[in-house]
Amino acid sequence: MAKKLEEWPWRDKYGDYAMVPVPEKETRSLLSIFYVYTGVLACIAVLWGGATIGTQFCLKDAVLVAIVGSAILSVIGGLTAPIGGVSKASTYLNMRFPFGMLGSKVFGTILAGISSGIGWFAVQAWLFGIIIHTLAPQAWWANVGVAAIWGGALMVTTAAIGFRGLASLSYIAVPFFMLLAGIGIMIGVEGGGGFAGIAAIAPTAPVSFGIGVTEVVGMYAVGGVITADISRYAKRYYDGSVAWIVQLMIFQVYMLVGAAMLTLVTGAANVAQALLVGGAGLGAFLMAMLGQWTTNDNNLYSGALSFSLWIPTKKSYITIGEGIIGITVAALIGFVAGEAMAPFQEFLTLLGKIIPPIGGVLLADFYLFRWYRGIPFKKRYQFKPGMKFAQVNWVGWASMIAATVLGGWVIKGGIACLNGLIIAFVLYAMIAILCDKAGIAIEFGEHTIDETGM
Amino acid sequence: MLLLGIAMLGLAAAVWPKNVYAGVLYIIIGLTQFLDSLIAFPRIGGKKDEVTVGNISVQHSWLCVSIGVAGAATILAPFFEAESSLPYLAFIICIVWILIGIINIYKAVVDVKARMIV
Repeated sequence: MAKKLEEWPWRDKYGDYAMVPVPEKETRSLLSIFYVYTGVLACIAVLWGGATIGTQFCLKDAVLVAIVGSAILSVIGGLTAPIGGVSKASTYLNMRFPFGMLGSKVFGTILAGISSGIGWFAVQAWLFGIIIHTLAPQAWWANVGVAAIWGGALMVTTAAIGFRGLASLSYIAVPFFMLLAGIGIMIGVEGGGGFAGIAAIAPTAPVSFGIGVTEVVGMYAVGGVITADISRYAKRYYDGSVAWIVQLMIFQVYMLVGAAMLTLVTGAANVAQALLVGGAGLGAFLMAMLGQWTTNDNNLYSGALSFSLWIPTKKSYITIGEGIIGITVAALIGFVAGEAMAPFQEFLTLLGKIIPPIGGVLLADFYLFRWYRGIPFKKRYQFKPGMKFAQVNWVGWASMIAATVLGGWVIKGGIACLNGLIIAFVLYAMIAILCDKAGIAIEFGEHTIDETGM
Repeated sequence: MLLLGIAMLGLAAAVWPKNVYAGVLYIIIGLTQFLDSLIAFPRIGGKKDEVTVGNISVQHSWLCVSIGVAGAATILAPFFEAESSLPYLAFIICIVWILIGIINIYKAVVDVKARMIV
């Protein structure tokens, strides 16, 4: 007998369940979740990350760095994904519990709206322009600015459709990308005179093992914190974790090592160009195009989800508006400044320092504080119309700010993004539990959500 | 689709002496498509509900389309040159896979109301 679906008391006024939990009938298979996550991973940036490792380590160490870095990311995302799987809500809605209504808006907007949705979207669209220009320097349509415009427009289309758009593109792009990465390995093996030949090549700019791991973790730490945006669509609460861990431990390692091999052999950090020179033909173009597309539509998607918290209109309109701003920035820089994106990227990196602490606070609240208060696992973060939320949870704010400062600037050792996450986790768990025992209120103000989630 | 997978593996054997890497590529593509089709049978077998069958068909057809696109984009690339008509035959097989996959998805979604995203 078919399982009876629970009554869904919400109204999805803004589309794509941006403000309300995903209903059971709209949940998707483990394979779908896996494809969308891997679609984000399958991007040129990861290959460039692999290429960087290729200049810093010999083949054996590059494999170890890729495995250790991916394992750390697996732990972060493997823990955040079930939060979305249980609550069926996006990261920014979940943030209402440990940060309050105001905190979820402020930090959600910084985390995804400005950082991913506009900032990184613009950077990736500009990068798309650069790559296409490198592949076809003579063509007018491959001018950096022009390519950023049409590439950005493609990315906006799938993001505006929502989860269905992201998933259908990933269905096409992910297996394709994996095959292309395999072709990269073949070209590397051919150029390097076999695996033994590649293993004997010394890196050109060696660094310590820790720096390599930091690079791998830092490359995808934001993705690890916002896994709930996708895992909320999972049928079972642990599907998101499984999908996340498999894509990292198998496919990220595979892509990083493939790119590292290609770089060790060719010495070129631009993987798409190395593939083109190596003879991959049209595949190099499609790899660049689909790789950036599947990643950047997710940036926009997460950004629009966070903006939905305080812009009461259809999520697709927010996506398009956000996309237009990002494309304009990317095209302007492409037309006018060319390579002068570095200060902008530094600003985004700065914003990125607060992201791991947000993840740390979320994890501490969901796994430790709720457990301490005796709330069963599957009853945590359950949204209901008419539910009351605090405006501010000061412990969440204080832990996040302190961990950002300590992890981002004060503590120099270890892996910077992990430091922030762990400090925030410890601070939040300690202060919240101590306040609870001492009878000190950690929440102020009150807001009642209606059936639209607002 | 199964037969096309076997045909691609046959082409892999034929192209191997001319270009080992082309042979490896054909094997990867042929084997992936062959297994994708083969696994679909036990998954569909015994299912009475048309929508469920349609959903499974959609899943397998997406992979068929994707690998078809990847094959069509790379088989004729200079790195996999084999100085014969074999790459063109392999290319045609990939195009057929793309068409079969798209038709499958279309029919499953339109005729039996399967989900395009499963």
